[in-house]
Formats: sequence, structure tokens, C-alpha cells
Amino acid sequence: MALLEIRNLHAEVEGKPIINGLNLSVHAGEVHAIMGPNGSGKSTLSYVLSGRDGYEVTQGDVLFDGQSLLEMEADERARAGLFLAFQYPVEIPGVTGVTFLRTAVNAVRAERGLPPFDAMDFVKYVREKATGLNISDDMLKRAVNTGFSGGEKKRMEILQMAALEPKFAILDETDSGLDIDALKVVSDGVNAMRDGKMGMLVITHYQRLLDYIVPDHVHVLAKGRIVKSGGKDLALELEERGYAEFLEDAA
Amino acid sequence: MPDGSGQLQPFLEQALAGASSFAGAGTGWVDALRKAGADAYAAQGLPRRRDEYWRYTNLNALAEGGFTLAGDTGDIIIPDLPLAGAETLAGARIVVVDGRMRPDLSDLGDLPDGVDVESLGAVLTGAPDRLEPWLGSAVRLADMPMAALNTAFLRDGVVITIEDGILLNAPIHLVSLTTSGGGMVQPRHLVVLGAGASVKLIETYIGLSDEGGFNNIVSEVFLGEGARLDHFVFQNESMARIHLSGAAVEIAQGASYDSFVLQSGGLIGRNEIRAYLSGPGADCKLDGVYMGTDRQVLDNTTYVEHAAPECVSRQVYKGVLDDQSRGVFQGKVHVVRDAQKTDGHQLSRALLLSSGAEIDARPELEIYADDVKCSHGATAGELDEDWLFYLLSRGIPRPQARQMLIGAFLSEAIAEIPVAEVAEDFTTHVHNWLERHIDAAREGN
Repeated sequence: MALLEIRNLHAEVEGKPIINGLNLSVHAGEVHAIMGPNGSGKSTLSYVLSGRDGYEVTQGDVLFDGQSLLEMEADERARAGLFLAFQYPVEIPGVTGVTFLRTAVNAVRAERGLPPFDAMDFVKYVREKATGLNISDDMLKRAVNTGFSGGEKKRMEILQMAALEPKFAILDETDSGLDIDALKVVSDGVNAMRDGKMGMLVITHYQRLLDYIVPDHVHVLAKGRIVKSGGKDLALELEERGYAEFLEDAA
Repeated sequence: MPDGSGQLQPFLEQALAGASSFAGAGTGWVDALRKAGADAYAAQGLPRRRDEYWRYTNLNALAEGGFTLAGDTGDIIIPDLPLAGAETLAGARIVVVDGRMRPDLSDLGDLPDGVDVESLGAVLTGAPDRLEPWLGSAVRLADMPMAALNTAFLRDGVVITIEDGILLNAPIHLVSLTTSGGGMVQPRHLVVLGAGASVKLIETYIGLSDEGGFNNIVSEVFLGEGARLDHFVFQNESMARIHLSGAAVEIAQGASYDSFVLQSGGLIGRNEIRAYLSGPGADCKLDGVYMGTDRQVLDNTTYVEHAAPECVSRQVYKGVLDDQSRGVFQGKVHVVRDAQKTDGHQLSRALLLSSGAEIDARPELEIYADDVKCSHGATAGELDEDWLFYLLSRGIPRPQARQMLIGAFLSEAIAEIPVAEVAEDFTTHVHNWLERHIDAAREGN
């Protein structure tokens, strides 16, 4: 059985249909890329899957590890092992990064029947997870993402992903706003987590990210559904030819 | 009783009837002061909506005058106080029960020479004239009708005097308790700091009974040149009690008054501060946080008078309001014509946690000088949905996520408290409050 199974998904935002009959299966250990033009529903898909308020599913179902994902609240989905790396991580003044992350990790551990980390143990744990991500203790002591550069925010997203050890991760335009060096750090961090078990959905507008995070499958999303699927070479084709043909076909 | 003008003057008869038996009766200036208070209160009556500083806090519950001045309270057991850190730090603990200072329950430690802590009643009985220059001289009766009523009831409270140049490191902790017998309390506190003196004063207000009652507390504070008072107030009165507190603060040249008031108690909890920056280079910082629930009204009303040039005032009040609770912020910064180079800022920020909660905020500037830097602002809003989703998306359960965000909102203000132990105590109280009120059962909020 697939780790994530999306069946004929329809969803709308403020009464406007955005996802229109989307089908997708991702098995454990697979990395699927979803590419598409602006407005094709890429970010909406990530929010629908992660359970954000205001994104209403009107039809279809999503099974995650055999459970109906749509029945669960956002926090329950996360504790069940779903992770969303945000395109635009928010700055939260007054909540220190390390407190936030420890609270999150302990919530997930409780769900898995593991004892909570105390403050000392957690610092050790998180330092280990931060290896290679170029994240200083100072970044963790500061308020969540507050005053961080675009690259720092994305590295922090990947640290959270590493610390929460999800079964499935959605990376929503993780490449946006990153220069090539930052892109490499972030991609290395993601690749280090490819263990043959974790599933990933990599959402991106550009092929560039997929040079670093090489997908098993590539899908083209247009007007809220998948209009073409292929191997990693499909990304290169799209880079060359653009999305114009899919916009016409899907119309 | 209403008089011809339709005004209500509850409690006035009690004050007049008691005056001859209050401490210091028979001393000319004390009698005159009480009478001036009674007259001012009679003229203004119980504050109503049309009174500028009472527009949003309704005292109808007092109109019938159903509370009787507390009599003597016998032995009581002092409970563990919530400010554990402040307790370990404090060099002296003054206990006031039902509006009367209790030397028998107080522990004045070994305060150095030049620091005096006494009961107002004892000084008024024994050596009242020492207080004549101070008592009643900071309170402008016409501006503070409830302080006028308190003046009519002048009887007891705490007098703290600190001589010139004395720097007291360990804070003084003033603990005020109300018991079931304490219907109405009218304590008057007086704090006088000589030139260059410095002290930290922590006040804790706790109700030991769930019964209704009425606190009408007035403090007069005089800071001599270059003096400094750090004043922290923890108001967690019983939820049935009406708690009105008014402070009049005279701040001389180069002196600093730093106030932080936490309010979570009282059916009505009102913190009114009138700060008079009377000498060049004086400054005041008036901050506070409040957490409202049920039908509480929590009010911060300030008036800062920049009467001299080059003075600085800063005000930040932040609150969270749940259920049907209501917050009030009224602040006026008044800059007189000669107060050039004034630097005055005020800000009110409220977080509304339920659709029934409300904040009335009215920051005001009244400026007659032309070379000043002044600003004011007020914000009110709900919890940020993007922040909440971010925490949820990391697996943090909704009640805990809300607690974290609300706690962060308040802790930014608490971080301004310069004494770490007090900041920690206040933070602990905020967290306990959040855990009690923002729980799983109310997840739908």
C-alpha cells in the first residue's frame, strides 16, 4: 500500500475550486516532485494535506499510512508523521526556537510512546540534527525565525524536519529565495534523510532544485490536477519547453 | 444617598460618622484633610461615565453602598505567596490585612538606618506632624474622586520613608490580604524617597475569601531629586472583589519611577497612576500586563504630566481577554508649554481570545510645547492564524500552541522588568493562568 494515497481530491478556498480531481500515490522511500505554473494549486495542495483552516475538501480522500488524513486536525497529522516545510516560514516573536522545537518534538515523541526530552538532552539531540545545516546555538536561542534571512529560515525548516523524523515530508518551494550555496546546504540536509523509508513530495516551480534533490517521479500540476507524470527527465523537458502546453490542454 | 443633583455618594456617611474615631482625629491639619476629601467626594459623587477618567469602568455595583468598612481582623494564617522568587529576595515583608497594617505579622528584617516602615495609623496617633508636608499633597482631589473618598476614610496604611542617598538592594514586599470580614478597605500608603535614594517595592494583593468586597487603595509617592523607585504590583484579588487602586506620584528632577502592574484578579481591577514629572530630566515608565476572564473588567488608567523640560515617559500595557471580559486603557500624556524636549510614548496592545471580549483603549496626547517627541498607539486583535498553524503543523496540540503564543505576547512585556526574580514570578503566574484558562475543553475558542 502507498504511504500517501490521494484519490480524486477536490478542494476549494473561499468557495473557489483550486484542486480538481487530483490522484497521486507515493510509496515509502519515494521522492515525488510536483511541478507546475503559478496558480496551478501547488501550495494549496500542501496546505490541504497539512490541514490548514480555510482549505475545504469537497470531494475525494487522502490516505496516510492507511488512515484517512482528512479526518485529522493539523496537529494530529503532524504527530502522525506528516511534515510541511513552508515556502514562507513565519516569524514568531517571543517564542524561542529551542522551546518551540522541544515542545514539538516532545509532542511527537509522546504520540510514539517515547519519553520527553528534558532541556539538556534536547540540546544534545538538536545539535546532532543540526550537523551540516550550519545552524548555530544562537539561532536556536532567538525567537522563531525572527530576523532570520531567507536561507536561515529554510535551514531551520530542514532542522525541524530532521528533529521531528516524519514519515512523509512535503517541501513547498523550498528553493524559493535561496542562492546556490544555501540551496546546496538545504538539499544536502534533505538528502541525508532519504533512508528508503521516508516519502517526500517536493513542490517546485523550477527544475533547479531537482538537480540537488533528485526525484523518483515527476508530475505536472495544472489547474488543480496532474496532467502528466514521468521520470526525472520530465523536469528537464519542462525547463526547456515551459508549462504553456499544459495550460492549454487542461483548459 | 442621592443629593439634589442626582449624584450618588455611597460610603460618605460612613466616612463622616467614623472621622472622629480615626487615628489622628483632633489634629487640625489631619481633620482638615479628611474634610477636604469628604467635600471633594461629596461634590463629585461616585464617578460616572461622563467623568473623563471613568468613561469605561462602571461603578454601579458600588452605588448602593452595600459594603461596610472592615473592622479589626484577628489572627490569620498567611498562605504561601505566589511570588516565591520575590519572597526570597525581599529584605522586609510588610503585611496589611483588610486595609490595616499588621506589625505583628510583618517582618521588617534589619532595614538599615534611614529606612522607616511604619503604620500610618501609628504615625497619625503619635507624631502626625511629620507627615504634614506629604500626606494629601500628591493627590489632586478634584481629579481623583475615589482618592477623595479614601482621604475621607484616612485611618491606616503603610508609611515608608527613605532618607537621602540610601540605596536599598533587597526589595520591600508589601503584602495586602483581604479576608471574609473585610467588606470595604480604604488603606492609604505613603512612600517618600529622599534625594538620590533608591528602593524596589513589590506589592502583592490577594483575596483570602471568595466573598464580594471593595478595595479602595490610594498610594502617594514622592521621589526626591535623583531618587529611584522600582514598583512592582501583583494584583490577584478574589474574582468577586472590586479592586480600585490609585497612585499619585511626584517625580523630582532626575528621579525615576518604574512601575509594572500585573492584574488578573477582581470583578473590577483598576490600576490608576497619575505621574507628575515635576523636575527636568525626570522619567517614568508605566508598564503592565493583564489577563481577563469571565466578566472581569481590568482597567489601566494613566495620566502623565510633563511639567518640566527633558523628561521621558514610556507606557506599555498588554493584555489578553477571554470570555466576556473587558479591558480598559485610558492614558493621557500632558505636556505643558515649557516642557520642551519631552519624550513621551504610550502603547496599548490587547489580544482578544473570544468574540465576547472587548477592549476600550483611549490613548491621548495633550501637548502645549513645540519641541517634543511624543507618540501613542493602540492595537487589538486575535491570535495570529499563521503563527497558530505553524505551531500546529509541527504537532503541538492546539491548546498548548495557543498558550505558547499568548504567553509570548505577554512575556515580551514582562521581559522589561529589571528584577529577574520578579519577572520569573510574573511569568510563572501567567503560565499558570494560561494552563487554567486555555485548556483542551475550550479548544473551540
